[in-house]
Order: sequence, then C-alpha cells, then structure tokens
Amino acid sequence: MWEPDNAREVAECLRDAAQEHRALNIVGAGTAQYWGGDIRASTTLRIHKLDSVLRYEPGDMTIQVEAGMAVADLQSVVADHGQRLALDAARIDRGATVGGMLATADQGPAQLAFGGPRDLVIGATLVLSDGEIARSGGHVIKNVAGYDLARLVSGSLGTLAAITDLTFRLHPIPAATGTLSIETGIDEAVTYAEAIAETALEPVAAEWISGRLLIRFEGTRSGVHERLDAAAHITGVGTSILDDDEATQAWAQQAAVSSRNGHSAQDTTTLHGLARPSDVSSIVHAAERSCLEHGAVPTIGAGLLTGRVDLRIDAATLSAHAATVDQWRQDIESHDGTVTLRDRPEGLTDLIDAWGEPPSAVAALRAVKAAYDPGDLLGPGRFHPWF
Amino acid sequence: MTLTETTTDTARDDDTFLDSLCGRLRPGAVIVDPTALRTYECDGLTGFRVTPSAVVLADTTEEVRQAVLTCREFGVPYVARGAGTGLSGGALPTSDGIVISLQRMRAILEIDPRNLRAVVEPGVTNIDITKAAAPFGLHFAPDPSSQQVCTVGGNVAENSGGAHCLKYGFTVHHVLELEVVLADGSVVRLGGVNREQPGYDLLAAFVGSEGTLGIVTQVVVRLVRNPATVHTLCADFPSITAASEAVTRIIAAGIVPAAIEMMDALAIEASEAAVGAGYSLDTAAALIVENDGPAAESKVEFEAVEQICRDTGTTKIRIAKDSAERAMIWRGRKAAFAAVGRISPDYIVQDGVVPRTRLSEILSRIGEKAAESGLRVANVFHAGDGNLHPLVLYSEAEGQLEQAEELSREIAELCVEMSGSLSGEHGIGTDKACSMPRMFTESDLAAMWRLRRAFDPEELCNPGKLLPTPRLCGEKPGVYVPHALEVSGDIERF
Repeated sequence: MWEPDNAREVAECLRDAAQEHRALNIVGAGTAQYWGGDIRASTTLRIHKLDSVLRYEPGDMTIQVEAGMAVADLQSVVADHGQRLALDAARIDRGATVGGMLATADQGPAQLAFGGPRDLVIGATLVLSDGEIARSGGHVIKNVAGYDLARLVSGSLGTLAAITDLTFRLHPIPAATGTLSIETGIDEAVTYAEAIAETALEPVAAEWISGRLLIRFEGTRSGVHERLDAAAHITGVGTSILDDDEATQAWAQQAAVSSRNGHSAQDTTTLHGLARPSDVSSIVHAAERSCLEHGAVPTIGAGLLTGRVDLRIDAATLSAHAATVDQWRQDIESHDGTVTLRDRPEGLTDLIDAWGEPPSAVAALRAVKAAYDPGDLLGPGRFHPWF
Repeated sequence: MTLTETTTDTARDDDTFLDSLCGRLRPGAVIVDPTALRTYECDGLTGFRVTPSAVVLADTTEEVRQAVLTCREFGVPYVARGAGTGLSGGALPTSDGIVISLQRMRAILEIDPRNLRAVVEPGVTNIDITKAAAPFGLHFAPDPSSQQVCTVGGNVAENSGGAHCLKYGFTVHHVLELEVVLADGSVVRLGGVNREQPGYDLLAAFVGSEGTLGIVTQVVVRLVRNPATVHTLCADFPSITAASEAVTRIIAAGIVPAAIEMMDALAIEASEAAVGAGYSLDTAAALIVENDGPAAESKVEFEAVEQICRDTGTTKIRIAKDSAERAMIWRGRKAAFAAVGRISPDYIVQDGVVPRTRLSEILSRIGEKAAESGLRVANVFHAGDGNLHPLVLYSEAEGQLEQAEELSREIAELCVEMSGSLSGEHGIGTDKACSMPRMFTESDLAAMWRLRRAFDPEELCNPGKLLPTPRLCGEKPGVYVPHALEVSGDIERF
C-alpha cells in the first residue's frame, strides 16, 4: 500500500510504478473498490492523505480541495458560509472522497436538480500514468479554454489518471427543505412524479424505495410548504408531509439501497441500472421478476425522473446472483439502458461479465485509455471485458 | 494579424480528391465555385479569412461519413461548420482542406416531453428547439445571444452558454447523447438514454472540443420546464464599480438568479441606437437581473436583489411589468453586440472570465488599458458568472487593427492572471490558440494533445484550433505565466 502525502509524491509513485511496470489500484476512502470488474493490481495507491482545502473563495462560491478530502469534511467547511457541494450520494456518509466521487460519477437523489459530480467540477489536477501533471479547467464557473479533462475522468474508476485536486462550484444551502411521502407501488409512483414534474413545482428529488415515494423540495420556508401542499394535492389520500426526523430517516432508507456498510459481502450484490425515465417502472418490474425467478430477495430504489434504478440482491448461492444479474441486465439493455455491477460476492465475475453490451464508442474508450495509460497500469481489469 | 491564404499554394492532386469526393456524394453536394466558396472563408471572427478548396453540403450522416472517409484517404483536412456565427475562428477553413456544412441537416426528429428531451439534427437553430418544445411548456436552456441563427451542432462544439447559464448551466449540462462521425469514419453514439453513463465521460469531453474530435450529426438535448414565474429588473448605476459591487453581493447572498448581465454606457448607447429598448442613456452602467422559479422563492430573491441594488447605490430601477417589457429589455441586451457596429466601424469581442469577486478590479484595469491605448472599449457581459465581453472598438481604415488586437489579447491574458480564463463561451479556436500557454503549462497541453490524437491521430479534423501549434504560433508560442496562487505559494506546480 502506497500512501503519498501530497500531489508531488503521487507523481513520484506513478513514475516509479511506470518504471517498474507495476499495476496500481487507486483508491480514496475505498468505498467503491468492487465497482466494475476485478482489478489485477498488487499495489494500492491510497490518496486519502491528500485532504486539505487548497483554496476557498466563499464570495465566488468555488472551492479547490485535494482529491482525498472526504466530501463530508468539505461540506462542513463550506456549511459555515451557508454553502454546500450539491452532491448527496449515499457513500458520502461512509467517508467517500471528492476524487472518488468524480472517478465513480456517483450521484444521489439530488442529481435530478444538480446533476452529478461532473456537472459541478470546474477544474482538476491529474497525474498521468507516467507521472506527468495535467491541469484542466480553473477557478471560474464558466470556462471553455481547452479540453475538459476533469469531465473526461468522470466515471474512469481509477483507470485513466490519478486525481490530486478538484475545484467545484458550490450552491447555497436552502433556507428550508421538505419531503412528501406516500406508500405506493412503482406504477402509481411514476404517474405521480410525472404529474408533479409537469407542474413548475421544481422538485429536487423524486425517489421510490420498495413501496414508498419520496419527493423533496427546497427553497424558502413558506415556498416549500406551498409546494409540498400543491404536490400532496396531486398524490392525494395517504400522502404525508414528513417532519425533519422522519425525513432524515426516510432518506437514510433510500441511501441504504445503494450503499452497504462493509465490503464484498458473500450474500449481497448491488447493481446500478440506468435508463430512460419512462422505462423505470418496467425496469423495476423486471428486477422483481428476475429476483423471483432465481430465488433472490430484491431491495429496489429508483430515481423516477432521472431513470436510475438501484437494485440490491440478497441470495444464497452465487449462481442465483449471476442468473438474476444476467436476466435483469438483458432486460435493461433491451430498453437501451446499462447496468453497472457494484459490490458483489467474490467469484461472481467468474460466472458473469462485470459489464454488459459495450457502447458503440468502445473503440474510442479504448483509444483514450491507450493514450493516457499505454502500459495499462492503472486499474487493469476494471473495465474488463470492454478493455 | 490577418491571415489570408489562397488556394494557389496547394500543389496537391486536388482534382483526384475532388473527383473522388463528388463521386461519393449526391450531385450538387460539393461546392467548388470560387465565388460561392467565399461565403465559407470565415466565421463570426472576420479578421481571419481562408478560402477552402471545397465545401460539402451534407444532408445525412452517411454523407458526412463519406466526406470524412474521402478526406482521410487523401490526407485532406476538414472543418465542420454550422451557421458560422462562432467568434473565435473555430470554423476557419484551411486552404488545402474542405468545409463540411451541417446547415442542411435541420430536422427536429422527436420531441419527447415525457422524458424531457428532443432529438435534433446538428443544423437546427438553437431557438427552433425552444420553439418546438414550447407547446409542452418546455425549453432548451442554453441561450447564446446568437440563438436566432446559431446551430445546436455549433453549440455542442463550443459548449455555448448564454445569459441564463448562471442558473441553468451550459450546453454540456443539456446534452444527453450525440451521434458523431469520428476521424476514422466510424459513426458512434456518445452518452446515452440517461444523463449518467458508465465509462469515461466522452460526451462531456466532446462538448466544447471545438470540432476537433469529430463531427456531430445528431444531438439529443434535455428540455427544461418553463419556470412558474419570472421577474426581471434593469438597474442603473453611477459607476461600473457600483454595479460590480451589486453583483458580488447578490452572489455572496446565496442568490442564484437566472441571469445577471451588465452593460456600460457605450454598450447602452449602441443598443439604444439599434433597438431603442428604453435603457437610460445617462447612466454609467446598467444591470439586468432576472430571477425565476417557484412563485414564493423567486419573489423573495427578487426583492433581495432589488434591496442590494438600492444598498449599492442604484439611481433607477425599472421592473418589467409583463413579458413584453421583459422581452424588450432582453432585446436591448442581446442586440448590443451587433449594435456596436453603429458606433464603431470595427470591433473585436473578447470573452475572458474572472472570479466574480474581481469584476470591479478587472473592469477598472480594462478601462486603464483602453485609455493607454487610446481605443474605446464597450462592455456588455454576463456579470453573474464573471464572463466579460469587452468590445474593443477600432477603425481598420485608420490602421488601428494591430493596436486593437494587442489590447484585446492583453485583456484576455489579464483575466488569466486574475485566476480566470481566456474564454467563457466563445472558444479558443484560431483566435486564442497562441494564448493557451499563458493559461496552461506544456504538460497540461501535452495531456490535451493526448485526447486529440486518441480521437484523430492524423490531425485532419479541424486542425490548428484550440491547441497552439508551431505553425500557428511559432516554435515557442508563448510563455507560461505562473498562476497568482503559485506565486503566493498557495498552490504549486511540480
């Protein structure tokens, strides 16, 4: 395990690794180690010691921090100024780092309003596989000078470059937040969410978790109340407007679907499905069907207006996991969607591929990988069988 | 510098290439008539002019692909072009190359209100997407001032912004999927049905790549719900400094208006002469602030904005009573660029960005530099995101071009010195490629070259744009100036 203290040392690590042809597994807090394929690397490069704020300009609402800083720590720094990084991925509670957020492109319910990490990042420093330093973007929220390498590494899962610092656009913390809840099946939930989206009520999140619809609003205290009432009028009987404690609990339940404590448990697989919002209900039904057929127990969370379906499978045998994943993946792919394998029992990737149908641009993905990491030293195996 | 090249210096077997090109495309798709070619010799940055050897008017993805394949076979460079409204010379042809015009590919293929998206061809104008989405209460959020004519393909190439990107983001935030023809002639899709996609974010890297990574032949854009309410005001200020202070305080108060725009006296004078939108002619600066969103929120924020304007010394506030008055205020703002032609025979538009807290500082520095050079500079810009558009006024007839270009370059580089950027939305193109080393080190640029070459190893796809080359800038294109934070030791380069 290599644990460099600063960006200069990260560059030295990568240079040494290149000289020794040593493959590296780059990690932050290690909360997404099993996402994608199995990495064939004997050395782990942990960047968690790069955890300082490099530059915070509250007046500009931008912050530059080292990549190993925990998102939660960043949030507490900027909260003092009434600001936040508008990311609410479940892993944040487990110490996920800002670099890890971008490398995994991980997103939470607020992606409906704010997008993902790549929509908030405005600058980055990368260390390439040969130790070369590359900076892109900068400190201003509007900037089109040069290629956007910060966005290129979004979703790269540690296979393109080591990220050593990131600059983000911040948003104000709203005066009030409110959540509406109704127990309902997925089909009605989609209908309700779409009806609310058709108004100009501007929900910031709309999630369905195993039989319950949650809609979140942000704004002024009176404005949030007005909109909660208007939305409750649409969802009708059985709707409750949650108090703060209830809301915290409800959103924690939502987060639990896609994030587990601990690492590769033997009986649980988590999958991340992406599709058109209008296909969410059929994809949720497909998940239930796959699990039923193979004797697995599903826990499902769906981003209704974003087209995200997180599926957690609990099953006794490896083959039940594999069969469930395979069937659900085929279903989503028939809807032009994708599935990413996240945490899973050891050995699962011996039975099924970590990734499904390659995208039409897979040759371009390979070319980019070859351009930045010609020796395939960064996270080899992560995108197997795509490359 | 005016770049003027003609086709006479190309001694290649052009005829074989052109025969092959014509043979693979429908009759009439290839223009070679010298007079007709002149139309394509420049984009909105008219100081750079090069006549291409031919223009392909593509109707389909397959025609774009055939053109690219032919170019590849003969080693001929090509440049994609939409409406030609770009302001950085991004669509400037090369004399030995061709232009592939996407302007005839202007079908709106699908509006999907349920999934909030539209599928369009690259030649569709920005405003036409919004017009097609309007019956569903939706719109396409990026709104560059040229939106009446600029194409969405061009918006993708430049990652266009506009007045409302402060709240709604840029083109990169509003594109879900692209069909592109890559340099090897393959047709691929970047992105997908969901905003989030597995793998490297090639879509986001492609948006804003200024036509150097491939040619867009189809765009799937996001559509945004029209806000419940919109409040717009125009506030006069006795000085640019006071107006800048208002901007800084609005941002610092945690308000995210849909737009904050600033115009100085010269810009107002020009705009009023052109469209008479009712701006005050006796004010040093005017701010246009728009708040939109749910009724309660936008009202509270709008009142806070109004109060900040009063606290910072506004002399007059005009609040739009209805959508007609709002449209008039915006008409004055969006017409300002072109209107500057009324008060000066020639002008150069700059596009630098500074952190929002440094607006007043940069504007006074620009004022000083303008005074030193003896040229006038009009300012009309996106104050909310620090994106300046100083218009350097000059007269080519009076031989002021070089002086104007010098001043313009100095302003852009000053923005970089102040932790900003060379360009907020117009792109680097031909215009600022040689300034890139001011903002990025050799190793930063080398990392960008890797991306370019991964997509286009032969460098035929819009060569000479975005990245500095020895041919364009000389062997040593410029000197990297350390970032202020590096000088102060807050950050380091290693």
